[in-house]
This record gives sequence, C-alpha cells and structure tokens, in this order.
Amino acid sequence: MNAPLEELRFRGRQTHERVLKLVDELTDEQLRWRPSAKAHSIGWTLWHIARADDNVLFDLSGASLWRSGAYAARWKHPERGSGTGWEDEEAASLPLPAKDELLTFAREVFAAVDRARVGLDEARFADEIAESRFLSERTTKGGVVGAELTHDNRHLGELEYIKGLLGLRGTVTR
Amino acid sequence: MTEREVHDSVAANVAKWTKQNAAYTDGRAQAAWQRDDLTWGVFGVPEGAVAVVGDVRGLDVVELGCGTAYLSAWLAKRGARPVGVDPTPAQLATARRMMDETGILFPLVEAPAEAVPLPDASFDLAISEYGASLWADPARWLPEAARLLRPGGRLIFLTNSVLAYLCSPDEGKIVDRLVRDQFGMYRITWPGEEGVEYHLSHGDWIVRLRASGFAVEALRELQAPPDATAHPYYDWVRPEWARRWPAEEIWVARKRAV
Repeated sequence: MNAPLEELRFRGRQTHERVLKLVDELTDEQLRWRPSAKAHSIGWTLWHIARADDNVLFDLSGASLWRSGAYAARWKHPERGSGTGWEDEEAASLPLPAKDELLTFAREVFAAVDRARVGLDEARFADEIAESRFLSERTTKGGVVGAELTHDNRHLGELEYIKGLLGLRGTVTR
Repeated sequence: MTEREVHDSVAANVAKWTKQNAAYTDGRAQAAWQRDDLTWGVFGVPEGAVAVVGDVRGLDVVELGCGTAYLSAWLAKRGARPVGVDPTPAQLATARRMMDETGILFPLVEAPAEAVPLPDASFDLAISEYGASLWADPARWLPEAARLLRPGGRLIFLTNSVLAYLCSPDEGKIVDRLVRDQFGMYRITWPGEEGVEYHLSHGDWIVRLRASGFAVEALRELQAPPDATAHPYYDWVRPEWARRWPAEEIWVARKRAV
C-alpha cells in the first residue's frame, strides 16, 4: 500500500463523511436558512460541494452523476455551473430540492469520487487533464484530488459556522 | 491481494491494452461497431446458439472492461442504456472516436472494474466479454458488479475456460494435455508477456459468485462452429481444439434479492 496516497484517499472520505453527518441532523428549514442576504444556506453550500465534486468525478473518470441522473431537468437547475462565481441573487434563486433528495445526490457523488480515488495510483495521479471541469484549467488528476480536498474542507468550515449560527453544534465540539 | 497488488495489476493491464489497442483493437473498432449481430469469443459463436443476453430494451447496462466498447454499442443499438467502464485511456479514446463516427452515444467511465465510480443498484445487467472477467481481480470486481446491480439484476461474463488454461503451456499454442496445476490457479502472468490475468476453477467461481450475492444460473461452454477458422490475432487456440473441448465459457448469474 502506498501510504501517502492512502492518506489522501482517507482524508477525502473523512471530509465527505463529516459533510454528510453535519447536514443529516438538520431540518429542511434549517437547511434553507441564510445568515444574511450575502451568505449562503447550508443546503446551497451542500449542493455546491456535490456539484463541484461531480466535476471532480468527471475529471477523474469521465462519469457525471449529475448528467446521468438528469438532475438538471429534475430540479430545474442549469445544466452547467456549480455555483462558483455566481452573484448572490443568482445563488439565492436556485430552487433547492428536498433534503432527502439533495442528500441522496451528495452521498452518491461523494461515494463515486471516493471510489475514483481508489482507482488511481501514482502513475494515474500524474495523468494530465487538458481542461479540468473542476478547476477550469490544465492540471493533473493528482492536482484535482488535492484541490478537491482543500475545496471541500473550506466549505465544511463554512457549514460548521452556519450551523453554529443556527445555535447548533458542529462536528468539532461536543 | 493487497491494494498495491491490485494497482500494479491494473497498471500492467493498462500498459498492455494501450499497446494491444495500437496493434489491433483500434483498427478493428470500426468493423466491430458496425456489426448488427452478437457473437461470442474468438470463433464467433452466435448469441442465438447460447441465448444468454435476451431482450435488452430499456435495460441499464454496465460493461465492465469495455475496451473499445463495441459490445456496449451493440447493446445501445438494441435499445439498452449502456455505460462502458474501462481503465485504459487509449481504448476509451478509440470508443469516443467511434461514437463521433457512428452517432451511437453512451457514457464512458475511465476506471478499473475493481473500483467503479458509479452508484449502488443502478443497473439491470452487468456484462463483461474478456474485460473484467479476465483482467480484473475477482475478489474486487465481483462485489463491485453486485453493488452496481439492482436486486434481481444479471451478470454475464465471457472468459477462458478452465480447461483451456490447464492446457496452455508457458509459450506457444494450447495443447491437448494438461500442463498446469488447477489447485492454486488465480493471478496469472505469462513469461515474457505484459499484463495480469485471473483464471479461476469452476468451484472457485461459484464460491466467489455466491459470496458476492449472486445465484449462478448458467455456465455455457462454447464450442467452435464447424466452419470456424483461426482468429487472425487471438491465435492462442486452434478451431480444431475448440471443436473438441471448450476454450471459452460464459457465466450467467443473478443478484439475489436479499
């Protein structure tokens, strides 16, 4: 076993588990609550993480659960775009699906990304991606895996903080 | 097998099939994609003679180790919704080129059959024609196939027969006597050749299929048709041999409901 790669895979799985655990305890109302007009809800942020991870999945394997599951049509969402660079109003107007539906999509995407990471070895980490769907630039599969980890953890912290503002505890403290 | 050994065998097989694709399968892809009939194995046994696939209209199908994806293309033409999975980028590139040429479109996923980045219970049929069935670790890919299938979904795969393996010397073509041990067969590398194959005895296939949640429905041992001629590329077995003994076999299993 390659310890550094296994560590990366483990940390990626752990981040996904923490995101799902944090959201699983919330009501639909809590999921949609926004701290301010300039801040996102937990639900929107979960949608964004899952959409971005679907782009990670595409970069690593060519699969897209967003596309194969026809989620854009089901949820009346734009086919492309994961929320990055959107105006606040545009983000706020996105019709979020019910919590269970959103969580199912996120769970499936996270599990698929976790498996795609398992399928990569050192040589595949160096595979070049001419234009990453996740990063919108030339990179490698290893570059996408690393960037996904920082991306998802950045938003995990955001989720933790919004949950704190709701008067609830995050996953760090007891 | 350890994680490292699985990765090593996937890497070796990707290297092998990158070369095989340049040498044969890429050039063969156009003819393979244009075929309207389905045949099995190196001697082209007609599907009608074995009747393992049946009506695929409306089925979600995952092809594990699709190579240039001609089988998935055939399934798409018959009304199925295939997804081709293969770890070799060169073969998937050939498949994408064929999609551009034919207009037959379906998703292609770059992944080994040991770790498929697709959701649980999302397919009605998992199929492998000398893909995962020969080149992936059964300890990993059979549970993956079971995970991908809906309850009651079918698994169909073609691979070398046990007898063919036992009669295959390290070098040269198949012979008419046993030259290998059956006990202990599993992960096989051939001297001087790239790639890792997996050959199991019938007993081991049954044990592993059952352990992965499958019920075995059929084992079809292929006989070369009377008019079969030697394959121009896969020439490890002669038609005379394959008319007397099965060189290839098709397993059909169904994922148990519970």
